[in-house]
Amino acid sequence: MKTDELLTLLERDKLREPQAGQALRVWLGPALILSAVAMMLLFGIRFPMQKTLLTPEIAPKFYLPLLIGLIATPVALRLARPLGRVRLGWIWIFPLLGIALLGYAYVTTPADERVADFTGQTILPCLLSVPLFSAPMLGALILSLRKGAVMAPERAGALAGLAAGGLGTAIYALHCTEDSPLFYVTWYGAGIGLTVLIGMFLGRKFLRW
Amino acid sequence: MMHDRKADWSQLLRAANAGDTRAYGLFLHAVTPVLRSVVRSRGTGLGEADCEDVVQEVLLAIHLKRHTWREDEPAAPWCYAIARHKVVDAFRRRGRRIHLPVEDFAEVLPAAPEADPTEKADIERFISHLEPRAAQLVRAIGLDGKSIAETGEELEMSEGAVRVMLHRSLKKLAALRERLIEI
Repeated sequence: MKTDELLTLLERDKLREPQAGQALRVWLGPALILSAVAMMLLFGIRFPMQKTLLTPEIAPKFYLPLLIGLIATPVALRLARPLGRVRLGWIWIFPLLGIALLGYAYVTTPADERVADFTGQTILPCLLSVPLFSAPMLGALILSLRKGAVMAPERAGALAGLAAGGLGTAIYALHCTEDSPLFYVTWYGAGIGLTVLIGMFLGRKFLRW
Repeated sequence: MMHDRKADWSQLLRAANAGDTRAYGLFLHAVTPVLRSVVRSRGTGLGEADCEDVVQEVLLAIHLKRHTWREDEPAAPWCYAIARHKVVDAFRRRGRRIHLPVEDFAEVLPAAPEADPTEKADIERFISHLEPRAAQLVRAIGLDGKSIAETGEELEMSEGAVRVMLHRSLKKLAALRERLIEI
């Protein structure tokens, strides 16, 4: 085909692909519902919910990952555009908050209870559940990013993993009965880290074009 | 001149987004010689026709990804980013690793306007993989230069249906080129 002929075809085509953000608006809701329903069916919500949501030492296990998810989602989306730049300096605030919580819990927990609080009863379920309940959102984010033109597939995938990991962890936190920051900061953090790695892998695989 | 390119491309692409077909044509015709120049400078030994194939792949990518440009951004750097990504990818599929800093796009002089070596018969290579009706539509618009309305009449389709089929065919052509050239 002559290039001029191709250009004629391109000129006449007025339709545009949807933005990554538009796609995510369609898919994120269903993904969150799927994840929440799966959590309720498999594990069930812990009642009363206000214990999780309103007790000062316990609440961060829900709100902190939720905040990570809410902040990282639009940042990941920015990487769908070639000129979308992201600053990642802020990311350190979350490990620092986590460490502060750990320090607080370490100091306020009697010495002979620290190890028991740290290991809890559910390390393995927690480590598996976080990626599991994050998976629908991670899928929605990766599919949405594919609508864009990602220049850094691994970085975009990792940020999608962080966003999905945050949201998925918040959902799991509504079930989880481990209330010591010694437990949840450590193992939720590890679960989110795992989700970031999965996202990075998926990014390498599916965000190239 | 470099400065002009940036301002012009943004203006043209903004007008194109507002529905100005002519502005979009000017934009594409301005981008093409720049791409051609860059691709040829990297494609020594590849042959002119293969280089032009790469140019066409990049043009398709720019077209199909144009929604990832925001009107408050400069169009030239956006265009270079897409082009660089796609040129590297196209060369990789042809078994070549190339180093291509994005600055090269800004610095290169556009290739001479008469420099399209592609044979007309090349069109069949890709179009023949489309379903018959889509192939007919692509020929009508691309080869015969028919308008959307004329094409609709010829194929007894509504204009809306022609537009949708044209868009889908371009997406398919882009995917086909990648698949057929994978080695």
